[in-house]
Amino acid sequence: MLGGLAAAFPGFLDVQLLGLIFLGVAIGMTGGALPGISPSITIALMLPIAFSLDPLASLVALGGIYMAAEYGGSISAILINTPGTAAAVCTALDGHPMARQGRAQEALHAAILASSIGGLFGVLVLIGFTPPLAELSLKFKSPEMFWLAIAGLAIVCNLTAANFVKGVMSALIGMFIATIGYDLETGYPRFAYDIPEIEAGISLVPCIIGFFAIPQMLMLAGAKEKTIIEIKPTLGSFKKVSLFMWKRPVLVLRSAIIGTFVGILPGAGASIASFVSYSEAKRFSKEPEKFGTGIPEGVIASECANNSMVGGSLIPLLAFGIPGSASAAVLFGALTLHGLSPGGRLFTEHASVVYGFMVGFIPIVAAMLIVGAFAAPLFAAVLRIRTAYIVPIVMMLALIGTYSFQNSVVDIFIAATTGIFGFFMMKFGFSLPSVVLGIILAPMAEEGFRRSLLLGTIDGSVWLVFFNSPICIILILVVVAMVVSAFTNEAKGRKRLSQLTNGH
Amino acid sequence: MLKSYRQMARRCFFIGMGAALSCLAVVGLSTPASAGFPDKPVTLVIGWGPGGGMDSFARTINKHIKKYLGVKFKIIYKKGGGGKVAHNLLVKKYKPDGYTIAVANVPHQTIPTQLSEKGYRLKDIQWISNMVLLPSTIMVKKVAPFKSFADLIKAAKAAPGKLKAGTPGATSGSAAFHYNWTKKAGANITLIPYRGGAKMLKGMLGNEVEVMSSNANWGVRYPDKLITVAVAGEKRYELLPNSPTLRELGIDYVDFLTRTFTASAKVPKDRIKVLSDAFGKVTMDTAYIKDMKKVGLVPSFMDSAATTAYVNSYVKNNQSVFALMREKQKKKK
Repeated sequence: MLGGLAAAFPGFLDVQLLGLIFLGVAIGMTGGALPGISPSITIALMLPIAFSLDPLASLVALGGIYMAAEYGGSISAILINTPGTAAAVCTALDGHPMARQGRAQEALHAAILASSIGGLFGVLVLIGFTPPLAELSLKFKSPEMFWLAIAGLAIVCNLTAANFVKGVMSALIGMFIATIGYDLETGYPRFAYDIPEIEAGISLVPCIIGFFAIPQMLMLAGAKEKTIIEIKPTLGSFKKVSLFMWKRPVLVLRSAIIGTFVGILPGAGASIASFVSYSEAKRFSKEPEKFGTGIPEGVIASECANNSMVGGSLIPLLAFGIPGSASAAVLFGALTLHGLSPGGRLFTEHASVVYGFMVGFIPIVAAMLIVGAFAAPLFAAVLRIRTAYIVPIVMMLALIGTYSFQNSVVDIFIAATTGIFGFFMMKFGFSLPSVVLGIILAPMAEEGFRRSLLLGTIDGSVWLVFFNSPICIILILVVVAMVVSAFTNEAKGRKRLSQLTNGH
Repeated sequence: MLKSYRQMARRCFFIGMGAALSCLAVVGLSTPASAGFPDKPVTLVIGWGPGGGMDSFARTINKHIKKYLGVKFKIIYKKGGGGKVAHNLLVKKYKPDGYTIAVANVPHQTIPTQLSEKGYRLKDIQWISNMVLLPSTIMVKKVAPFKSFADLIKAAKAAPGKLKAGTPGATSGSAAFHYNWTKKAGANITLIPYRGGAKMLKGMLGNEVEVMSSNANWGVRYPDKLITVAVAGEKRYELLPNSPTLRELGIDYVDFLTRTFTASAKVPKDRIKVLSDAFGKVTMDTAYIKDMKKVGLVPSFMDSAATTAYVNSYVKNNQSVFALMREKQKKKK
């Protein structure tokens, strides 16, 4: 294996490959930043071009898009509180308040540095520990996946809601939206009312745009200020952020480990990675009450985790052919189209391509760091544009993004409806991140729950099946801790989170 | 300084807009037809997500089709319900001029029409041609105590209903296959549906289920993890030469998943013929055959009439399974 890795390195001095890496990174960052164009869609849009290249070149280009798109989501999250990706929902919690304080450039630099370190960490784990970690991912069976989804929801409600009950209500609204579509066990179309476009369910993309971009733009349109915020160009913010992170190795390492681990679990995804990491950062912090008010720790925890997820999500993909995320599923298609079927044989029969692909992520992360660090002041300049220009342009981009996702006009109606609904929910202090996480996690929770019942019936007890493994017990304890701490915090009268609702 | 900042900001926005517009251009829109069919790219609707089995088939044929059809496909995704959403759109929304066709899988496009009064009917679509017959298979894990079909049946009979078999979906073609073969073999093996093949494989490798009733591709792809104990083909599958057919094992039953092209029933017959002829020719192309084997498929062409006959016999032979699936839906409602 070491020989294979060493042999893969010199290949990256090739000009064409380096060019493709930078191109992939630029496309990924743009796609990630645009609300509506998710990382997996960006990769899918570029698939046809990638097939004209040889296997390694195309995989490296697609890998560059994947990595950079997971970072790109933070750009729009920080600047206009409109996450470009589902994971960046978490980045916005602290990133946007920072931008409002005039520290947009610092937040962007924190995001790119954390993303790069996290990305690199995930990739090193991918290179070093694929076989044992892939085995571990198989320990998460149906009951464990159910509890993981519930724990994710409890964490999000605890973190983002001013009032835990409202947070739970928000999550339930999201979960209801996710029940629309075909039933897992019978195939019956639930709540579809004969509309073919929603028979298979409401897609996530129009909901993200509806619940984030539109309410945010409506708020901006109603604001007195002519620009989002007056910023002073901050010199030396990159150095400042680097030092900040250097002094907090535990925060960075913990976030990277959480991100990689969640990435390994198929179906969990980048948003859980970010929220779990954020919640842990808050729990271990000496000043947990400052989270959500605009501190770099929040941005670092979220971004570090969602980029280390990239390497993690490729572990079960390369080892078994089980993609750990939606983007990894598209990469799976790219692999099979080049005649490379994932699994144990991949590492023996196509070693040069696989090791090249894995090692290729190191120059990809470097390219992302270079582009992101230099472009941060440029991105931050967006805040100086008058809201009279920003609102219509973002609205237009959001609608184009919604439509181009699957050429569906119905999706535009969904985005508009959820947008207006989301605006009022925001006004009344409901938590929009909880709604979106409800939509993301409900299918995972439902599938895990119902299959556990089925398996429990066969094995004897429908109750015991949910408490049968140490992983289940740990996850249940997390849920209990989240609920209890939410209520005790409220009882203590710590209402500082209510400030957060201004941003959401 | 101020001025350059503003310029930079503006440039940023133009770059973003440019990227968004080019995305739109990639997706594109279709315009009315003219003589000399086809004189512009044919839109191919894939009712599954990018990167899946249907997608890799569509992209493989798209690499070779221009030589025979004169134009390439423009691939769009309308994911949902195993191609059901795409076919509802095909008959309800898209213009029936032959410039929009879909990829289908005979069981998946047939079963929903038998389970519910809603959505497209079989008479609303026509089958252009069949490109692949992928036999259904029964698989066990390499480390399992049973390593042959006979052992599996023995274990199932020793503990009725205790063995579990994964399928990718409750009303999928694989589920129909599962009900059929277990009934014919007299074995009671409980069906556990997963949302999609990747989750099913995870369930299998993670010991949640002991058996997989699904297409031959899995056994081809994972020879180090799975043993294909039986193949429901007419003869042995080219890419799994060591696995016996159900017929060899004394069970007279064949079942396939397919890669088939469909169009709205309203598309003129002469246009269907142009498409079908091109698909027939591409099936002879050695480069195409080679690329198909790379994605684990063996081309097997049937023209429009033969495909329609195949679909009709599939519907007829599976009536009891459809009744069972309808019963399950009623109970859950």
